Amino acid sequence: MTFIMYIALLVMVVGLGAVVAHPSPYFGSLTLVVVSGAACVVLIVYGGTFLALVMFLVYLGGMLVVFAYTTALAADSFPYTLTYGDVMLYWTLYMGLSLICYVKCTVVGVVEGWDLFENWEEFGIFESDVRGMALMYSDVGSLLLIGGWMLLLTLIAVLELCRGNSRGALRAV
Amino acid sequence: MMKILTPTLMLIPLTWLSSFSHLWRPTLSYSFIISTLSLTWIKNMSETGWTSLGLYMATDTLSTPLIILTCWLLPLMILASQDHMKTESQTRQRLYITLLIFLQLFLISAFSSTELIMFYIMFEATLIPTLMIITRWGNQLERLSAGTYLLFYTLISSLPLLVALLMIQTNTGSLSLTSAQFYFSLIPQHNFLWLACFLAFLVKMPLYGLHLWLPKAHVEAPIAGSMILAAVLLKLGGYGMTRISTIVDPISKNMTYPFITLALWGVIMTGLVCLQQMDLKSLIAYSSVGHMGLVVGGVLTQTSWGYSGALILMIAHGLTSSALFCLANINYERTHSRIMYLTRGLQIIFPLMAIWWLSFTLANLALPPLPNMMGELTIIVCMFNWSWWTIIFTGLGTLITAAYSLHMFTTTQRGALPPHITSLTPMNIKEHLLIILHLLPLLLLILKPEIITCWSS
Amino acid sequence: MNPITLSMFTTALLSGTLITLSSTNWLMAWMGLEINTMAIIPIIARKHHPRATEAATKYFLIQAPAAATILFCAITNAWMTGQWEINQMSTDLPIILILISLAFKMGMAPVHSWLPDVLQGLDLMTGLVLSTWQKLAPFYLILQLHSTHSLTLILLGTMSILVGGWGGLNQTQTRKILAYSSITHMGWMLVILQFSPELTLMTFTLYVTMTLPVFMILHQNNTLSINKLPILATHTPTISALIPLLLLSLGGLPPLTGFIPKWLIIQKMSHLGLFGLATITALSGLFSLYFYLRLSYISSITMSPSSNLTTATWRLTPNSIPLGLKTTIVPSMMLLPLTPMINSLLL
Repeated sequence: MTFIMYIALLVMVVGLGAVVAHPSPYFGSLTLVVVSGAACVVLIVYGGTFLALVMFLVYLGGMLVVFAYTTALAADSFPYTLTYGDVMLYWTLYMGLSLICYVKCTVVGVVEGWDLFENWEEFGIFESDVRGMALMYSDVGSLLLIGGWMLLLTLIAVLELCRGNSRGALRAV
Repeated sequence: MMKILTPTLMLIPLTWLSSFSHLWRPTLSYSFIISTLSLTWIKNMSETGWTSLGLYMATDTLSTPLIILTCWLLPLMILASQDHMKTESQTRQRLYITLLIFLQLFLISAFSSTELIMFYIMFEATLIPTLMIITRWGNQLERLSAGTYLLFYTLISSLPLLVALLMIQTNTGSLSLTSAQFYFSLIPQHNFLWLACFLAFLVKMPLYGLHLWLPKAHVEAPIAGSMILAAVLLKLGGYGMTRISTIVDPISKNMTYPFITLALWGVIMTGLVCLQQMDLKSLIAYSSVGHMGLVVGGVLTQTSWGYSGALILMIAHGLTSSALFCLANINYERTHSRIMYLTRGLQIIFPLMAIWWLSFTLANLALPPLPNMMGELTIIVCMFNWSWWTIIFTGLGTLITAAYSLHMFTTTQRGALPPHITSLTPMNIKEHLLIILHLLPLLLLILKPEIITCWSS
Repeated sequence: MNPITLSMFTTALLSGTLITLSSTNWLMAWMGLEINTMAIIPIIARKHHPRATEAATKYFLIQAPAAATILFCAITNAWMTGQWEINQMSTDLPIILILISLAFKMGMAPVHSWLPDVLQGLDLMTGLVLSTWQKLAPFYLILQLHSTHSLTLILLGTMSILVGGWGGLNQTQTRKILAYSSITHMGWMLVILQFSPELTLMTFTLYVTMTLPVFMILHQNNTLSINKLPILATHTPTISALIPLLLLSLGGLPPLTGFIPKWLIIQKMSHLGLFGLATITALSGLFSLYFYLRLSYISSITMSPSSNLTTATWRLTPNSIPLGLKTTIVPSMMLLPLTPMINSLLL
């Protein structure tokens, strides 16, 4: 399990470096998909199976695929790849930075306290993420309401900005 | 105190509500009435030295002459700037008078406040009307930089003063002047505290070296601005120093050396600058810096002779330099030039004005019976007592003062009249009145100088 | 924009801040911030001007990572300490990051560069909302964190005062100048925050009071650059006489309202014995005074050479002053005598 965890974390860090370093949206979104997959694995290993499922379905299955599809349609024929000089340079830079951060954190010991509250899982019947979801539907219904309203607001904001026939701010036609 | 402040405040509705044809006369006469009322403060019967003691305001022998001078200056300013403002629109004339009234209000509050923080606020409050008078009604383009200089010189030096005052307040719990002797011992004596307390006033005076804003402001200001600046605003510095030096006393002995040296050096330097000055207003401004140098010296020696000499000189110089600016402005309104070599020989066409020029030149060089001489002599004696060597500087300074005063007089009044200024409008009665009203208090003070000597009865 | 949509966005703008203000939980606070951002973006882009669209994009790009950082720090904090309470943060890493990202959201010094650019793209009323109401929510959060990490707060504060003064010096656009003025005032608030949060609140209130009429005047006369300021004298002469006082009040000159926060802040610092810091902050506030002074020179103290166009407006009856302006302009200049009352209300 530890091995899988390490691989997933490594893919995540390397992939995020690639996401930031890529100038072309085509590879950017592709690496984002990879990173999200790795993040799901990390979540599962940490015990958040339900969260990982939700993330996989909503984020990967819904949004990112559409995102990757649209960028692929819009992308140029010869996008910059990882082997291109600048991209490589930036990527190496980010990797070096994260390596330094990693070494620094393990030496100083910031990360050590982080597994403090994982042990609480043993006291409950359900996993903590499921409990959190349940809590949102039962005790703090207002939070759900606000969350839903916020999504609606975001939808309307996006529609308002992207309306056609030059009624929205972002579109010329 | 309210007997003066309330009428002063009510001058503002008078200015805005009276009809335009009756704008200048009522404001003038009412401000004269106010200044007459203020004369009652001269009588100081109180044993503590403070009279008309209110909650936050009181007068004593130090502040009374300065307040009366302030009250006296407002009608004179209104009188002097009437011609200057003739071309302006109605609203602007009213606004101008309002600014002058506000200035008087702030100045009276500053001189009479017994709370140092209120003194500080009012000290700063005088900046805004002065700034507007200088930059809105000045003549040349340079008035903008003059206003900026005025504002920033004063603010940079006075913000440390605010911190210092609040530091004293933190340590003692009070900033009241009337009870200063009780918390006096609690004040931490620290060099920086001393410097912060004095710097604001030394810039306001101004001390030589920190004086660059003053000639600029004087030259660019309209007549009322020059008058109030020379007569009262500079005296805020001397007044503040006298007040604060009683509070941060013990450390002053060593700290004052560089400043007294600079002040005395400034007397000579500004005198030399005056000797080769072409610009009439600039000459009078630099002569103010020189005289204020003597005041700084007198105050910083921290003796009772020093204080009383400083106060006498401040009052006398206030009247004299204000009158000199008026005379310069009377010339300017006719010839439209401040350059002395273009406006020579005026005695031939304005004989009576030559008398006024002569009398105020003599006052400026401290002719014996005049209060200017009393002040200078008191300060010189006091400095001599402080150190023998100062007699070189003060003596030389007096000599140079006499030299440039005579230079100013002979250049503007004597000699042949240049051909380009033969047809000038004669002086009118208002201008004579203006000068007489400057001269009269100066002459009357010869008879009873003890009211401006800062001695409590 | 459709009135119904507009009303929905304005409601969201109001309620987003209110949600943040009434929450003790980081998650809810973050949600309020996000609602705020989402609601203002269509309002910013309402005019469809390219600069407005650019401003909306920039605003979104700035606010999104800032909010993400806040969420990240809140989660990290929850992981490390086991609770989500806003005023019980105890570990340094999330605190510093949250402080910086809140400063990012408000546009404070080391991370301020977006604010002048974004404000430049807005019309003045939206700019007013952006520089007052939009700062309320992050300001409240930062107020809750007042006793957490003093060095960060001091650095953010002093840098904001300096950068706000320095940056405004060579600007010619009034909106950019107002943005830098906002940065400076935020700096004053943060400098005193750890010593007295009440004083910070008071400074914020007075800042809003003072900046409100300035925005309203500039909006009424549509003066977007320094060049157009002299038309105030012909359009609204009374305002033209008052605007130097307003601007100097923003600069904090003594007999005006703006001196209250400076006075009380310096007093608080002196009481705590921080004389050096007090002097440095007071003196660095003078930078911003310089551009206020320049604005007031141009707007009314000097007369600009007038063209035929302006003399024509001179003959017309001057614009009337809206009631809101009348009521806000007085407290923004003349509150200093009420200092003891303000003191007792807020402290």
